[in-house]
Amino acid sequence: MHMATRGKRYNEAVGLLDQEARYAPPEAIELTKQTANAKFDETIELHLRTGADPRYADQMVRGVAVLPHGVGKPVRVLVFCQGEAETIARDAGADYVGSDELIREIENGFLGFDVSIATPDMMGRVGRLGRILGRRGLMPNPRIGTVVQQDGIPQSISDAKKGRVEFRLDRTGLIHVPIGKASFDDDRLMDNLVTLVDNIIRARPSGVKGQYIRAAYLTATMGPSVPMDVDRLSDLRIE
Amino acid sequence: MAVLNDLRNGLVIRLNDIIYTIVDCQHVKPGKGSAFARTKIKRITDGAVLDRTFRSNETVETVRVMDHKMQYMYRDGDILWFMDNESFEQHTLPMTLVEDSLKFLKEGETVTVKMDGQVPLAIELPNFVELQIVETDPGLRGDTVSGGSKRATLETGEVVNVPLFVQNETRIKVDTRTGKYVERI
Repeated sequence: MHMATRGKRYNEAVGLLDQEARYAPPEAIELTKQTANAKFDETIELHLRTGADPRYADQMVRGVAVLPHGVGKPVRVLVFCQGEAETIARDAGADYVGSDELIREIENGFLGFDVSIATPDMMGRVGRLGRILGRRGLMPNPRIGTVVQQDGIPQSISDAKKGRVEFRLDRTGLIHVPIGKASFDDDRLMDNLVTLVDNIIRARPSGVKGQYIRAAYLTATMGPSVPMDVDRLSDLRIE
Repeated sequence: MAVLNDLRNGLVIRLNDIIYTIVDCQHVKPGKGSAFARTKIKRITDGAVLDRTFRSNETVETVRVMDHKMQYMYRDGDILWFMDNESFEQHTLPMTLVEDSLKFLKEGETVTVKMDGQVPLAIELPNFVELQIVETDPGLRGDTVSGGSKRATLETGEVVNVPLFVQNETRIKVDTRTGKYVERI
């Protein structure tokens, strides 16, 4: 397959990096921001290659982290619930609320939301949407805090809006998480990064053999990846 | 601990610290000599199936398994995602545990997953599943008394024999244990 040719903007961005080097987190953040020179506010993402095999249940990594400074984009929250809970959800700031009608809309292709929350009584029906939501990481899940009783709805919506991100292994053992926008200060991005890494490391599953984090890269949406020093990254913990 | 008589299809055992499920089990009680069981054992870790014969004097360690009803959600390469109907947690199962059941597994279908704590060991399809026929020929063969059968492809890709009067696009019930047509829905 013919390798795609890259444009001038991209190639210049690549020129700023040393592909052999492993940058410490602060430099990596700075560099990544410099590569984020496209005509919109790019999202900065963290990508990790782990030593975990998602096929084994005891090696699955899945959890949440609430980024202190948010992700930089407004989060659209959808809540599956019925009765009284619908009012609670709307008052708490949910963008879309409903039960069967909402389910039908999603079956028809509606995907205009970033997070979905549900009450347990709805989950039987929401299960049908597994095929559509599951792959996109939009399926409500108790471990992430998106399946909650009625009284937990406001907290869950609030966390979602404030910057709760989910990290989970994809089928090749990689983790991809946004940590903010290119317009953020280095400090803000660093705070988010520290919180995220701390949570990921705490979520290390029992069955993982060898090194948990094998490689780490920071990248901007349109930019090249910036390799990071894994040891320095793993040292970032919340005090 | 299980003795020879307890061995059955679907039982989960531990030999030398490795967990296996019994996928096939034939008990043999010859007139002369002691009884034994000729089994096929599937290793959980990689799905390899081995032959093993147990003699009547052997005891086998059984593994305590919990049955959880889960819905099959979707497949991501060689990982299948299921959601527990009670806890709503999502679990991943490797293809190796599930391959024999794939031919009757439809998205959204509820199956029983045997787990040892948090580790899934095996799945059990419901006895009957309703599936749609996606391809079969019209099967017109004139009037016969005995009738015949023809091949039909199901929505999962599996091919079964169905009676001639069953048309394309019909939903049918299939017995998962024998893989045969049961009736039209």
